[in-house]
Amino acid sequence: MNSPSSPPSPERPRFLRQFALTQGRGQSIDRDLPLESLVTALPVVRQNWLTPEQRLIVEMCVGPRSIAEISSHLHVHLGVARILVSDMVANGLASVVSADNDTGPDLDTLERLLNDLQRL
Amino acid sequence: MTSSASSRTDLKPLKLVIAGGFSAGKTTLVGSTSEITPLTTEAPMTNMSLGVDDRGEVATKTATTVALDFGRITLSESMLFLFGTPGQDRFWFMWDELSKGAVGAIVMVDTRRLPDSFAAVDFFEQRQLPYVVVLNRFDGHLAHSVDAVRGALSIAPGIPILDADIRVRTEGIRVLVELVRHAIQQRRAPAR
Repeated sequence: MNSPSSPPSPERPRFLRQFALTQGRGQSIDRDLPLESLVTALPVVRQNWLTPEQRLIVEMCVGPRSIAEISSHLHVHLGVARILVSDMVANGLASVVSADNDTGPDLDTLERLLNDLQRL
Repeated sequence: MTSSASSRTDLKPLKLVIAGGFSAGKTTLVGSTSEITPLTTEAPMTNMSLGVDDRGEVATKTATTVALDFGRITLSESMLFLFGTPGQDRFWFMWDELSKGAVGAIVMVDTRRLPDSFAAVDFFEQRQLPYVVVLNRFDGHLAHSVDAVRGALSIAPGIPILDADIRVRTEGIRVLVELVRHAIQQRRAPAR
């Protein structure tokens, strides 16, 4: 018998709330959106049409911010942040830049990175 | 140099993984090199990754998460993210996601607890993801020499093992530079 022997977890209500935020979807439409993808908010015509989460994302993504930063800032799981961003991209509220993670950075990118790091 | 790099939309996202055992210095390295105060985010653990401690209590699964510490460095053409991830092999699913498309990985080793690093070394070796090993100097001391660690963890001769005080920013940056240099070498001569 799988009795509820464990004490109620404080995480559970938060999880339910997160589930509600994404309208019940457990996975992002764009499952390939890596957590380092850079999100920039696009100019919004009607601020009052945004959900509170979208408003927060628009505010923080004036310059590019990663999915991971959005997740941390909104206190939601990475998967939830991904779905929120996917929806915003679909609705023309944000743009995303991701690298091609199947191939990884090319030699040219690595050399520029090395150059930059050596100058820090 | 542009003064408003942080608002540029043409920056390319790049990432690297910092793995290692409990308190081996992952967060310290993120903190000393990041331009922002390290942030934390959480990812829910999947059922499969829970196999190790699964006791069949479905209701508790949703509450199990893995925490990631991360930082950021804005560069001339890219934004580099440093993700610190727990070293136990039951978090492999997170390593999997993080290593996909990563520049490379840094394995932080506490020389007093060598076995904690086996899983990470093994993983990156199998993935052929470029990695370097960093021996964190606790209080300025190493419990084992570089050679002893190479032998104990069976690290191939071509893999750099660095000895660094990663609390110091310049030392942290040196580690990143060595990793990228190694990644370039591996790209040029992939077969080893």
